[in-house]
Amino acid sequence: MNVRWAGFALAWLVVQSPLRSARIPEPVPGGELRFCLHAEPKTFNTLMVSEEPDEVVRFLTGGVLIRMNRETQALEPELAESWRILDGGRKIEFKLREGVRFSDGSALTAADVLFSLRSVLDPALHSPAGEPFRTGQGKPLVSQPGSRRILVSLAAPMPGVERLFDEVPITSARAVEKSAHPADMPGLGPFHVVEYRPGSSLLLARNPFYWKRDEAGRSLPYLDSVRLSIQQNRDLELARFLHGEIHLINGLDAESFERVAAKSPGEARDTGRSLESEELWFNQVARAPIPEYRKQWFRSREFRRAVAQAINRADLARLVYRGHAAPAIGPVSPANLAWFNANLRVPTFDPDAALARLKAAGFSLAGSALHDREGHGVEFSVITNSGNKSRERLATMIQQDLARIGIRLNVVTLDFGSLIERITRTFDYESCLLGMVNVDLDPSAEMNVWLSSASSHAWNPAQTSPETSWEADIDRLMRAQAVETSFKRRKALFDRVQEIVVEEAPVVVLVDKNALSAVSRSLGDVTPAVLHPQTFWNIDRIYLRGGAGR
Amino acid sequence: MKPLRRAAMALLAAIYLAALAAAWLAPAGYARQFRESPDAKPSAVFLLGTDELGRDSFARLLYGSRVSLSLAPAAAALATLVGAVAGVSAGYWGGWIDTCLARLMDLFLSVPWLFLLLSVRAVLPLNVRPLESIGITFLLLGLLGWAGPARVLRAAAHEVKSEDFMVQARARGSSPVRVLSLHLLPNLAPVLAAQFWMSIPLFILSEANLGFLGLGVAEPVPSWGNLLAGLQNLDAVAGCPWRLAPLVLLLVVMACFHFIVPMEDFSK
Amino acid sequence: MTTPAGLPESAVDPRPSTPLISMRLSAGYRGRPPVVENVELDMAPGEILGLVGRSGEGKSTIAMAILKLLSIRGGKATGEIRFRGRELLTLSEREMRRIRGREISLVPQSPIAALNPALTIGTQFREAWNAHSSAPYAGFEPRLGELLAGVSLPSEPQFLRRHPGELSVGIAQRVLIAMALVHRPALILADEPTSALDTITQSEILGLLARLNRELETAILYISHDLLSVASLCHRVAILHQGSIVECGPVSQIFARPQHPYTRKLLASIPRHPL
Ligand SMILES: Nc1ncnc2c1ncn2[C@@H]1O[C@H](COP(=O)(O)OP(=O)(O)OP(=O)(O)O)[C@@H](O)[C@H]1O
Ligand SMILES: [Mg+2]
Repeated sequence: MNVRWAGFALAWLVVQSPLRSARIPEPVPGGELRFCLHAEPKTFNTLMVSEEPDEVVRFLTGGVLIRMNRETQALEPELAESWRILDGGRKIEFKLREGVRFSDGSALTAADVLFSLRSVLDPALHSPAGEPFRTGQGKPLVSQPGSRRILVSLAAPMPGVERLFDEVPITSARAVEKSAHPADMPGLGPFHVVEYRPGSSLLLARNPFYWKRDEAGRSLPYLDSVRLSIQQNRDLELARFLHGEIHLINGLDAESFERVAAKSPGEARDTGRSLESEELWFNQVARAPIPEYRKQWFRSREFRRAVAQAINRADLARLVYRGHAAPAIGPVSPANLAWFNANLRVPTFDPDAALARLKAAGFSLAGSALHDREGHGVEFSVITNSGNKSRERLATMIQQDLARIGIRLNVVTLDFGSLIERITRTFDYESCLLGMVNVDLDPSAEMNVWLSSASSHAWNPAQTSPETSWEADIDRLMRAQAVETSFKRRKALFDRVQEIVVEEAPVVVLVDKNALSAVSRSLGDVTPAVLHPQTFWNIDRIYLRGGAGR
Repeated sequence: MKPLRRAAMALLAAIYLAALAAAWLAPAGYARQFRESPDAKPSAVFLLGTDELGRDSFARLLYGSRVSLSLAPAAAALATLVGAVAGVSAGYWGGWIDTCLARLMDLFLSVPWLFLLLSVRAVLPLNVRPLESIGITFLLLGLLGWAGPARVLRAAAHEVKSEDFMVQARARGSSPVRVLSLHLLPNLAPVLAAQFWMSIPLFILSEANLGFLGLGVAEPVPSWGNLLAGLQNLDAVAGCPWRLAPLVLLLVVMACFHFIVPMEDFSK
Repeated sequence: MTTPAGLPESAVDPRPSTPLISMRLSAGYRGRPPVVENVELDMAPGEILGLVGRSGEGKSTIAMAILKLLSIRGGKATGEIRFRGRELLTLSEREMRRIRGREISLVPQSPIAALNPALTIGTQFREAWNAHSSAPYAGFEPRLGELLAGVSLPSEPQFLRRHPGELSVGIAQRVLIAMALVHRPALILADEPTSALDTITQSEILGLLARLNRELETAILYISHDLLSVASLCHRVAILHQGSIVECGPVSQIFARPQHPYTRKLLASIPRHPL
């Protein structure tokens, strides 16, 4: 199926490209693109990249064997001309592209690729890109069965492993040696670093030896250079955009988005639901230092579902995010094209049904206050991190929604450190409102969230054995999908996980936030995606209208 | 100075009365979310428009004034009282009492507040009702804000203590209680009053910062602190001058305090 | 006037050989060299002793040390002070408080500053009374009249309702002397009581002190750097210089035959004037 997938991606490119070139004017080469990094890069060694600014630089200057198209979420061949999955998902073989050269003109050799893969996969080197491969089931081996063939042999089958190569940098021993002097470092990406002024900026120039060409046979990228300013303050970044000093902003919040939209409507880009959501969950940890009767509520499926039903998600999206969010459907956003369970529907907002559900479960209304079977007034606290206006507003709206079914919710904002301490160590909280981001689309990347034994199993982490039958079901389904090689069967398994999470509502997923960005109208062929790096994922095709202008 | 001071007091009293009459002046209440009209402009229904959740800004301002204008003076009174007891004891008795208390004051003034408040937050229960949070905030501000007044009062007590009439009173054989109550405190009264008045605006602003640590006045109860925090985004205010109402009111009240605080007492 | 109850035997012992007070005293302030060292002084009951020295020699320090109030200004005294058979330096603060104002009173240098500006004269008299008597103040009021008359002050209620700020320095000093006498102390420490006064008032106050001493047999430690006033008032005089008593004796002897060079220098600085 994987080969088929790659084929599909190729076919898509072939079909799309003529359309695209027909739609837009001829790209004019030249010019400088400017945008901001939000922190100082920590390393230029592509093997050791772990933080966002380093990743941006690697994306612009580095090469990979397989690239995920951020728009279609399909995998596309890059430095590998093609790849095959062999031996029931135990091996992956790459066929290397001919004639690829580094930015210093030297050729990319199979030895370079061997070096890169071995370095990433070597546990002793602790390369963050190798993290997902370290399953504890033995070390993957890398070999060269033919002159332009590279074979990675895994200790155990890893369905969907090819997607991980989007993050595995291809470099050379020479380049790694020079990573302390980024301007001298040869790379395989569309650009290479020519000047680094720590604390201030980074100038990238066009890689004259970049292997890709456009449909007309002209060499890519179109842009001459990219200037990255190091700017931590997002307000200043916005001001610079509004003054036309920079061309792009990724990850805008709704308020900044509205500012851009108010000034120049065409430059504010809402790409729709992203992979970021806001969630509310109840503490179900047995040893949590909270009253037993409250734990009983939080362990009650009917209670959790009633809360989920009583929250007006549409209002949350409309008021808190000014419409730049959508009521969440389930734990996986529809923005995850391949894995979202399309049979799920947005849960209905129905306080009356919620109340009926609670009454059926033994709760009763006395006046306007809800009481449990033992007569305890239903009142609990929700914690969220302070300084995040959106979350505070979500909590305040939920407070009013729950008041309608007689539940008293107390909102407590905590600094992030204390919050994490409470939800991961002391478990001294009742419910928590936080955001979740899915960076990796594959369900195997979410094992650490859904397995009952996992440390990030938010509502009741690190269980020695599943404490509920539905958690046992999720464990079983997640483990099964992790070794299943057929995409269709994996999808069916993971669909079921999503259904269980909606049915049991251990987490109430509130809204999926939209991916918002700002894109200068002087840029051509920018198609913001929900996946990182959002606006410039197709950097080699972006051009400045009128070339060097602006 | 005198008529100005009287005018300031009258204005402050008027604001306070309006805050107390919030239930009549703004029947919409501070918590009700009119979700169909968020971010509304001022109108006959919503005198100052609505906030982002559709809550009546005028009602929130009035109720917020009620909270802040009662909370801050109460906290100021508590802080001044604790500060007076500590400062006067230290300044008057001197010796090891002074050494200990002065250390404690220095500690309190130099302690990383964040750390202290985080510990306080960790100890307090999470399930605090919004109205209880007002009480807790008041207690915290009062109990944690004593060191400033204490230091001033310590210096003042120290100074008054060696005044001739204090020595004379002791030479007359008066008991410590009498020396304190008859001679020391009346002469510290202006300093006490100044400390009290000065603490009020300080506490109005600190309350907002406590909110960042989960200790301030909790949603949905409004306070000037959380209303002002909403103004942090300058852009939200541009073109909507009515949103500045909390800031204007705060400035007016601060100005009133400034005129009420008898500045000449500091030169003493 | 009655003798206060509970006075020790020695206080009423008529033998002049038993000193009212005798001390060997060292005193100083924190972080400084000692101001006085091993100062030896004694006074007989009813005696006026002049303590003379230039400014800063430590005269006030000695007075405060006797009252054990040096700590207010950050000072400390060691040695011994025997007063009517008790060792003052070993008394507790509580016991010491019963002596201040009842057996030993202080008449200060700056009378206006020594009165609390916020309180009326009457209130401060009441305070002085209440400090050592549980008897009702009303019972004291007739005697207050006598007391005020004794220092040539009006005793009408209007006067007692005045605040210190409304008094002249001379009147204020009379008030303080009257207050010092409320409990008929055996010893008055008069710390330069006339230095803030004009010359006419000065001599009036000196006359007043002399009369009190005669009529009430109150001993007075008269501190001054004004040798003329000392000569006119005191029985004996002690010269304080560089932390110790360099010379002590009857006024006539010191003035006629000063032994110590410092005394001679002091005497040389007196403008020649018939007493
Ligand atoms: N509170 C204090 N702290 C430190 N040093 C002091 C203090 N009070 C007085 N002294 C010092 O002690 C010494 C003696 O002071 P004291 O007041 O006893 O002198 P005095 O003989 O009474 O002088 P005067 O005639 O001016 O009243 C002086 O050198 C003075 O500077
Ligand atoms: Mg003196």
